[in-house]
Amino acid sequence: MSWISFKSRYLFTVNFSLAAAVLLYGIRKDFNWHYLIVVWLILTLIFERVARLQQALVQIIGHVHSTLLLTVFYFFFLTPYGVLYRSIFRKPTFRLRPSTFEEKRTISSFDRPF
Amino acid sequence: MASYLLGISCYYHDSAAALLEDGLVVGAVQEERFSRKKHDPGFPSQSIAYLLRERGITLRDVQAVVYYEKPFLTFERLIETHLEASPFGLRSFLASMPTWIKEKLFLQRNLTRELALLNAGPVPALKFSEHHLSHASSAFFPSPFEEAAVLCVDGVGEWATTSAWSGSGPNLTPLWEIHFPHSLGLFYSTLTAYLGFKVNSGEYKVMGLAPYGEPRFANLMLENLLHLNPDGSFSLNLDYFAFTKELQMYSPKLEDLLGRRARRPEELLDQFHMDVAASLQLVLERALIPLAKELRRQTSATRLCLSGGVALNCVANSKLLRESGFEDLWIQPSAGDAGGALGAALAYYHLAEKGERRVSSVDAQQGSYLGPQFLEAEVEDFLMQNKIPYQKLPREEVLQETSRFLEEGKVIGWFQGRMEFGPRALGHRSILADARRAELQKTLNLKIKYRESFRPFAPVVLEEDASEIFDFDRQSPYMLFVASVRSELRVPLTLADSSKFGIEKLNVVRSTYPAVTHVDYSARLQTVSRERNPILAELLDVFRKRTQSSVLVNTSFNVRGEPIVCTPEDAYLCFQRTEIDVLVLENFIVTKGSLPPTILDEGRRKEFELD
Repeated sequence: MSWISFKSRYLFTVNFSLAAAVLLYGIRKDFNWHYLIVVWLILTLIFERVARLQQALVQIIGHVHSTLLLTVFYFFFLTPYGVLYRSIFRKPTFRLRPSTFEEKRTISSFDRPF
Repeated sequence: MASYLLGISCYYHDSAAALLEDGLVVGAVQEERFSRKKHDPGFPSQSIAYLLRERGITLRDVQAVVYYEKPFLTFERLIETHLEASPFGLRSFLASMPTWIKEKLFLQRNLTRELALLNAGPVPALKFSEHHLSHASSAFFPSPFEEAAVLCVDGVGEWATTSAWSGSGPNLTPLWEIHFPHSLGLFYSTLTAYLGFKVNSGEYKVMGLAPYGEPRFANLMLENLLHLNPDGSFSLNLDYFAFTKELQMYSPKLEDLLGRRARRPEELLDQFHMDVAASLQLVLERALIPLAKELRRQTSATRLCLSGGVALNCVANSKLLRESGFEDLWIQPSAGDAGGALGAALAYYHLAEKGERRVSSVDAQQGSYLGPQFLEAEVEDFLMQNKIPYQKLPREEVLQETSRFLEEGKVIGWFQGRMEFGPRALGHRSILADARRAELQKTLNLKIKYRESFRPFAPVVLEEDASEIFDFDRQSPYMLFVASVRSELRVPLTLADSSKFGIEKLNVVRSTYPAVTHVDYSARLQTVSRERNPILAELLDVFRKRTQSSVLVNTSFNVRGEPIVCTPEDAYLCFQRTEIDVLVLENFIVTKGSLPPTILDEGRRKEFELD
């Protein structure tokens, strides 16, 4: 098994359980229900299917979470900045012009991704 | 010791890898052929593994891996487009950002990880080309021209949607670009989506649909959608396009303008759709010709190289050849993003490494036969292991037998040599049939390819015979030009035939080669030479001796939604699933009648998503 497969199959599961345990302790301030996390951890380590289910659940949570964060970012940062951008920094290609040719003299270095 | 460069394109659509040995392309392949997922955008692991295996090298021997574009510039374009569209682009923002934040922004790390996962030695240095530089390099460096102007037209790269270059020897100098959102590729794709076809795959269907229609919307499009500036540049009226802020390409205003809602996929096509397709094609040509003329004026070059997805529009290519003022035209056969892998490696070799360029009268693309090939022993092993009854014959007899089958009206699955790089099957992974049979167009579409009945088929003809059958006096080895069937070979139409509209036109026999003659007498021509494709040339020769005709139907060996076959197994499964009569795998012939029914049933199980 490669390191990347090992990481996603086992370390993810352990990290997930640790995070769940810390969160549960933060909410309840006791360890009364932590045995459920231990059971879950054992099940995910043994059964591939449970691990996949866990990953799917985390993906859904992650999707909801990122959607919320991105929406907040979109309306509270990007949109106000968009107003400024359109009035000051707008790229010429988005403006109405008699010609859309852009002169190009050089090519960018191969060493960088920009 | 040889020096190797690996070019890759991935994470958008049509991922691919290409390998250069001392500046010469020794292999190039699209990942979809291995993964069997059409337009597969994933990292081309299997393609790279194949290329390394084929040369007997590891990543240790590869000097650098060159990615075909600059991801940060693409991200910048994306952010500026969202700033421009805010606050109305939330859905598009939410759809695009997670992939960028998770993967594409960390492309360097991800590429390194994926290359490491190949377990093929230490990861070489990573380099980045520009998207349009990759296209331009893929068009110019393999071309047979010492000097040429280069025009790249596609949907969008980083910012550029159209770019012009001047090529001379091993140098490529940028001249100008047209930037997003003004894009002929996106213009064509938007109308493709409006016509109910998939973006990035249905464009060639629209091109095939166009001859059925009348361009009655062309002026409307030029007045409202695409403005042609006096200097040859163009701009889109974004009121009619939604791709900057929505998940769909067109805005409701486009539906209002054309007076009808967009066609849903698989809905019946009628004359309206054909007229829109015809208008779109005409408008594209009207936009391309001034661009090429302007480039000709600026560079004084007599030769033009083309690349970018729009360069796969063979109808427009032929117009460019006739009307742009250039004497000769060479088009990269893998003009879409897959070809970017090849272009990226070539750009790095010539422009960064200052590698020498050797130009000869024949291009360096090697017929685009750059993919895997299978030894006779491997094919035989496959047939024996699967208990498939076959006939093994010497080559001359294979040709005679195939020719006899073709003469009888049989459809042949033809699998020979190295697989093609690019979207066209050029006679190594092809379905062949006799072009003189009128019924074959329908049979091939409906019973073999399972695709729309309006779509035309391409002819393949011996190079020396091409001008006797078509109004065409050049080579077209990559099926990137159309030519008209010569007037003396056309069948005069009756009054009733002439008054037919739309799809009805399809059933009219128009020439002595009805299976490949489109409704406007055009054909997307492939000419075959003995140097580039000896076995297909020999087959055409044998067929000509038997029938006095050297024209065959050549269509890609796949069904709708399936990538072109790569291995003998893919070919065999496709053969089983369809009504192809005979399978010719190198020197082995398998006929349908000889197969036990259980093997047939097994093969019919696998289905592909419609494109």
